[in-house]
Amino acid sequence: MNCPACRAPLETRRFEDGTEVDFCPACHGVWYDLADMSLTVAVAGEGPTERLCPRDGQQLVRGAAAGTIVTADRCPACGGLWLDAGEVQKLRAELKVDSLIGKGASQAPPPLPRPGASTAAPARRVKEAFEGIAADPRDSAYENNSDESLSPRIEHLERSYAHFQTGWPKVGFVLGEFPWRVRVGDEAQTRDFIAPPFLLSEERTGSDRTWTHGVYLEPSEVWAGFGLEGEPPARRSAAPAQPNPHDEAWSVVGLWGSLAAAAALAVFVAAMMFSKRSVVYTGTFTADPAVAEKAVVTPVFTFDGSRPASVRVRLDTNIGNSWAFFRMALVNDETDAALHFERELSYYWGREDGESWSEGSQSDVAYLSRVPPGRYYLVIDPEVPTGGVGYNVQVMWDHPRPDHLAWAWAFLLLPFAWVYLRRRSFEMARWAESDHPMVTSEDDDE
Amino acid sequence: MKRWYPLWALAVLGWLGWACLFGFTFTGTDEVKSVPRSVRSNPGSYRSHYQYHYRTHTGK
Repeated sequence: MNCPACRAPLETRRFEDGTEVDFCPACHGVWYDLADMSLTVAVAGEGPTERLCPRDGQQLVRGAAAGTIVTADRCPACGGLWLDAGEVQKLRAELKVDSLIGKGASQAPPPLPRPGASTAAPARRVKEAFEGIAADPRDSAYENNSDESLSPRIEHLERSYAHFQTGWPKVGFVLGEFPWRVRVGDEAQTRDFIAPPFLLSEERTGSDRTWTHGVYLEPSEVWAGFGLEGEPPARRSAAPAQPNPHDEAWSVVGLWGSLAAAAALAVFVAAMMFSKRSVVYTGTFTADPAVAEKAVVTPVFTFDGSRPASVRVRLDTNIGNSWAFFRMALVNDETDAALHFERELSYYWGREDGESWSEGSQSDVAYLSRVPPGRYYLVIDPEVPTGGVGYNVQVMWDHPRPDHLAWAWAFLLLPFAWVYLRRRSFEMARWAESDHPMVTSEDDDE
Repeated sequence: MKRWYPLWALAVLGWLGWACLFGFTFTGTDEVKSVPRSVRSNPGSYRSHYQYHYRTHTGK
């Protein structure tokens, strides 16, 4: 029997179970008789080819094998299947089987479409969705448009692939052996689509359209697969289909960060519920610069409890287009130790062009931390510019600070921001060599 | 990240619980010790027990 592709004599390899395959030692394609296949592989697609069946000399029909992107040739008479070099492994991967050989495929394959009836293979499983762009990649609107939002996508096996780059390679020189005829000057059009770690490539040569499916392998896997010694070269930048190494960290931080943020809210709510938040003193005073001594001392009040806690001191004033400054001290009546703090308030308002505006606030809240329980009094020394300023002082014991929750969320968000930046940096490196870079030179110039 | 972020989250939650219970501030509060009892009757004398606050009297 002769090879359908290059007409070299086929060689037969027999197995223990009696099955056999015929392979071409020149182009490395493989011929399967129907009786030797472990499963039925239907071929649907484009129509007759110039290749002849090695068994009966009938014209083979080429199309998509079993609805995959692998191209195969089938004899309509004997049902045998021809796969070019490399397509056996791809078809096994697509069908998720270890071998195509075995006793089992006894039923005849489904009838083939009439020649020319359907040229959409592998369109049945590959659907192109362009967002406002013509399907022909040579369309000027597509070539001249670098807007990432208009990038075409390919959907295949329930996975969406994003367009990476389009090229128009031309053979400059040939070195080595090829299972097909290659000439210097041959031109093709290639389009690469990625859905890391998978890569889908299209090559158009004349009327032929070939799809190739690839999977990214780590350098260590390649080294081990070929049995190479030493270590692979160090990485440079990012490969198109290389999985983002920060994806796992992103998932972890996203999941744990969300749970932790919710837990932080729960902790704060619980702290608010179990804290006393008792008002121990309220007083109203007037500060007048005409009065010689404006400082006041409050009556003694008690912070009861068994642990130090936060003290909340609230000031409400009636200042208007003015300011007020308060020097205050919380003095322990038993130890004569004082916690000194100062608060500055300013409030201005007016109307401009018919619209009212305001700046500042008439109220202020101060927190004192880790105040031990005991008896205390407050010394208030106000300073006001002019006129009498009324102010109300409220002292609350054991009141958690709301900004503690904000700080906790900020601390929880820090790793999230770090991972986000690193993940984005990798994606920018990945897309830098594509037709859709995330940062263009025009952006840099601006 | 898978190992240390949960530990980091637990540490933050522990800090939050401690800060809510006992109080915490990133900026310290000036503490003055041994304030004389005379402050009760003469609060203006308190000014001598802390550093004079230099501030800019601004306003519109």
